Amino acid sequence: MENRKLSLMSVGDYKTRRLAFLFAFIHLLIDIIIGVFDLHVETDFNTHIILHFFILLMLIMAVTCKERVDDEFTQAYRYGAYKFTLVVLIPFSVLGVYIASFFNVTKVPVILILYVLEGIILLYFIVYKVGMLTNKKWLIEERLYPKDYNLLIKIFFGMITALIIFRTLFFDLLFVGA
Amino acid sequence: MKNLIKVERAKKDITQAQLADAIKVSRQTINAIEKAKFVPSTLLALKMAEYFECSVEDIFQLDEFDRLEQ
Repeated sequence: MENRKLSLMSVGDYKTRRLAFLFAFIHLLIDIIIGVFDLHVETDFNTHIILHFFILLMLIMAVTCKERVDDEFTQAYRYGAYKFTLVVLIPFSVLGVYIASFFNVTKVPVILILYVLEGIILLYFIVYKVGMLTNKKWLIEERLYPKDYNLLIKIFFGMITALIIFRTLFFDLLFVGA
Repeated sequence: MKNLIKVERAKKDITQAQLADAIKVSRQTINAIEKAKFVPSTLLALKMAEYFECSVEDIFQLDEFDRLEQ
């Protein structure tokens, strides 16, 4: 008998995780060596992007691996860290999109997206490990933030929405038209 | 929810690691349950009760805070 909802995120073996981190580290090392010693080889593809794509794949593989003893406590922390990362990610994504639209950024470099994704995965992994090692109770509670923060969250999203509406309706008229 | 795992462990003279091995969970899990930072599932509570040869209610009891929440 097991909780299938919580087991969803554990697909690999704990040994696979070590291997995945090792491969990610090797790829990162190669990327650093290429960058430091300027060892660029003429190829049809961007080595920097390919290396970071592999690092991302290895990190995804690593964070979806089971612990040595993968019990309900571990699964609860894994699920909590996953929720926490989403809670952090959503407002920052909204903010990022708003800033990009404000400065009329139309092309986002692929490498930047890869860096962001790697950062998110690392944040998730750090929250999961630190939370579990220090027994942070709030991470496994149903509500990740106290009820008092509800108003603050609504104000934050309200302000972002108001800014986007203002930017869409009046920015061109006020600055470009002037 | 309060629990008497520490007391039951002392009666049997076993460590957290030994209990964890016996019911196939990690030592961290036992530590978190003992400190009331993690509420175990019914399955795990039943396994503990079976190991200590007592009922679940002998180990886990509602505290005042749980009663107030209801």
